[in-house]
Amino acid sequence: MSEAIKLLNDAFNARNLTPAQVAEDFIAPPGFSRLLGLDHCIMVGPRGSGKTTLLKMLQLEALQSWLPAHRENRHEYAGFIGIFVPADVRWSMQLDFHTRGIATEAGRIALQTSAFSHAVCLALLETLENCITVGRTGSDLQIYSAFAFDRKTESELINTLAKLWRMKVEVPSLLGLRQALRLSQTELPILAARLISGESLASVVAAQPFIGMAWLDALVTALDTINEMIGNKTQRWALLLDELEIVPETLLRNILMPLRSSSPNLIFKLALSPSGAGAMVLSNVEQYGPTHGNDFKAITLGYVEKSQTRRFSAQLMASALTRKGISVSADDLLSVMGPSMFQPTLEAADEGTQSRAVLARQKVFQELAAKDESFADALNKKNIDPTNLSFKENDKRAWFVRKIYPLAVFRNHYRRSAGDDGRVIARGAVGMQLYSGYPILLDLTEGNPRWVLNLADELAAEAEKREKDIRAVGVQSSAIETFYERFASLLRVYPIEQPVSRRPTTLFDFVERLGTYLSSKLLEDAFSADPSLSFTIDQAAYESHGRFIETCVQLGVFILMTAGATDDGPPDLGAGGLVGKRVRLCHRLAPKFRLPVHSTRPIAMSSALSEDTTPSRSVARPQLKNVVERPADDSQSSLF
Amino acid sequence: MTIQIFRNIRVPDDLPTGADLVVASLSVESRCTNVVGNASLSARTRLAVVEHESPLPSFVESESCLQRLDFAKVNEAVLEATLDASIASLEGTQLDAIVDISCMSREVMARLFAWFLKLTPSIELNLYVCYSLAEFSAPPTEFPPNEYIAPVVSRFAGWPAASQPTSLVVGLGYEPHKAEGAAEFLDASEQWLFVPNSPIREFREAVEQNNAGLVERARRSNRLVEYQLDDPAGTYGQLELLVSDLSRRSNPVLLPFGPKMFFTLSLLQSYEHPQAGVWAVSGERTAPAADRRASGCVIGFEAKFQ
Repeated sequence: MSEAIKLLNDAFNARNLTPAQVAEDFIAPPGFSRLLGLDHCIMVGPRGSGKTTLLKMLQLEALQSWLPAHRENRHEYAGFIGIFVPADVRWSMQLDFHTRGIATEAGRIALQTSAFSHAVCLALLETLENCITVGRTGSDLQIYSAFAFDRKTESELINTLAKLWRMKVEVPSLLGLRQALRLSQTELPILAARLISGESLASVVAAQPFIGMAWLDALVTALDTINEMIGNKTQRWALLLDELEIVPETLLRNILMPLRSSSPNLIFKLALSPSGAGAMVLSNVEQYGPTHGNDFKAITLGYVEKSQTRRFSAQLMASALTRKGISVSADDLLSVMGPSMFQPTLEAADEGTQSRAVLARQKVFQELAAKDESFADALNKKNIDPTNLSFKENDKRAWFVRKIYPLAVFRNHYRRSAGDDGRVIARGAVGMQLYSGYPILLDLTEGNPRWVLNLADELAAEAEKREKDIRAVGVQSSAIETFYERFASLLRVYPIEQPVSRRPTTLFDFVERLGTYLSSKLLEDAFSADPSLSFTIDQAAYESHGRFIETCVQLGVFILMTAGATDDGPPDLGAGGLVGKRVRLCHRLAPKFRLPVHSTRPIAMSSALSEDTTPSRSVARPQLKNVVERPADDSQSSLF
Repeated sequence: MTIQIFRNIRVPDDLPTGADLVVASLSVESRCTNVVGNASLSARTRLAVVEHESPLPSFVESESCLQRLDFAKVNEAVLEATLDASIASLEGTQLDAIVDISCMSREVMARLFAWFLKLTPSIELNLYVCYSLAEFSAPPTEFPPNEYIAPVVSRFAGWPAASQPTSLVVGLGYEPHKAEGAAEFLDASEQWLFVPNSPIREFREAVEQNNAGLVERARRSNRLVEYQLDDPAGTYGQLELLVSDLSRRSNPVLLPFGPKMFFTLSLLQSYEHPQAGVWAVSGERTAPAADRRASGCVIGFEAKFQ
């Protein structure tokens, strides 16, 4: 197992793992097989949704170790060789800092393109080295055998590549060419400084000819050369580009345009955030560039059906816990984590359990009715006696009781009796019982792989620290708290452009405002069997907080609830594309804001933003605002 | 040119009276005069950098004090130009400079050090850096929003190499959420924490308390390094060991929250290892100004570039 996985303090990012390490623990999410074909693909998903993992899985080394055990996917793999080009926010920001002082646009673009070309060429060399190494040692995969060439042929190839890339190589070997590229890469800041000081681009290019090369030419000519060398002129290669949204805009435009026309031997598999700069550029490029369906296939990650999400999260959680020394399978998670508070009463099957479920419901309903007049009224209107919840199966009241039970549990947990003045008193510090146990604990992760691993890590560490099982309430409560607080910390410092006319606000302030709004309606207003727990992004909200909304989508704070998002439909591109979309707050923040782990009908986001719901332990009951029409597909059937 | 000598000094005893240049700052923090007010300095050029003018009494008082000591007020916008002018008549190839970083913003510190380091290798540089610790004050509970988390200036940005993973060295401060959030933002392959042991004991307690989760995770993975704030030479050595090791397998980003002394040491590390960047968050300069008085504890070091 890699050190990067073992160590608890490191980021859970596949970027830092080798292809073999990624393959070792890979659990294919729905839609993975669609990436294995020859289409250009753009994967769209928020931070942590597994885009990097999927791209790294498309490298030959990863597929070679994973496919044999997953024969159902083997025939879908179209035989391309993946070239993974890493990128992260550090690289992007450094590039921006080194080039922002260059006065001429041509100079700036040349430097940025050159930095990208270096990354692409280095990635190609790494891929090539793997192919040659495996080819020489033998492999079951036919594709490798063509690369089993001798040292002399390797030297010839390297000499040709060096010539194409205008590199001076002392020793014609892969290592020699790689070192030359790295050396050239370290000179980029120096060349940038020369351009900033006023030196002409022509003079810089004369000294360093690689600067003047177009990145696509550098790649395509190299691929053609390699294909000739391996005797297969139609060998396909896939350029796997990660984190496109952080690439400087001009460079990004330059990268996306070849989606429409480039070498027939080169396909693109790109990863992009569902909002922000990358999506916006893609929307613009679409006008005269590649078009969805014709030129690329869009694959949206992270918005799959709840049952699929749970299954995927359970497999990943079990795998992560096993690596931490807690041996468990996905099917064992219910016993390892214990059931959630809602599990027995909602999924009772046998008669004995059913009667216990009825008793449990009666207890909750009676407690709540005694301290919450509005709840008692709601029951009364439906002719329901909280002391007797045994109904015949076809009695509509049985359906109603089942429907509102999770809300009643939630409200009962957080609410005390109203005071003499009619003000509702929310309870103070309460445990995390509402969010503990299977499957709620998994739902908090939203099926986001990085979040699943993060939570597994916290659970394992807490269990070890307290010398208790994961099932222990204290272990889960503490892990849940750390889990959401880490995310809240990110939102507090996440850099964001401020609206000119408004009071400076952190991303966390913005999210807190929405979360507190929903929570206050849910816990402090009169009981509603169908409260608002999601938002429609309306024009007014977008105009006042567009950048905040986009960033929330990008980070996974907002979960898009668009029906059919897993289909091949176009992703929600660009800021304008978000208006009219329905979103909910991610469940990871549900314990922070005292929200249930489900969502119901939406309310216009601007309504929530315009209301002052400063977090308070004791607030007057607010009047309900106008709400958006309930959509036809809305239901509480998936409550908890 | 590299740093040949790095040693702790006693302030003001070990400061050279005949330095060529003294750079301090003028701010609302009354500790801004603590070092230069207690040293007998006869430098030809004495500059007091102003980042924000203020009508507060502490600012006015410090302004008078620095005037008496023959310091010229310099607006930070013209810092580099003023420095260029100040050494125009420098005779010889050696520059002895004293810098009091106590009240400088990180951005100004970075610009100042970028200017100094640009002089090398044509000029042999002796830097004397002083830091007057403030009395303890409670950490802020409200934070201005950040508009960026980015390299502090391009000179210390590090190299844009995409092929290497990013590693992170965080110097902890006592503000809650800041380090945790920034670490999440950078999403590094490897993350190390430097925790200051300050002569001001309350500071250490607040650091641990407000970064409990981060500290605990770093301890679990043996990536927590404690450093003595009053031993900059020792801390520089600790940083050197780590950054030189990280540089072999990654592109390190140094994120020095907390005491400004650690920030300075990070800048010098970036000078020695240009692939390592020094980053900062943008909130600092928009934080409300408040008087911070000197605690009486002053630390310093000398770095000789040859």
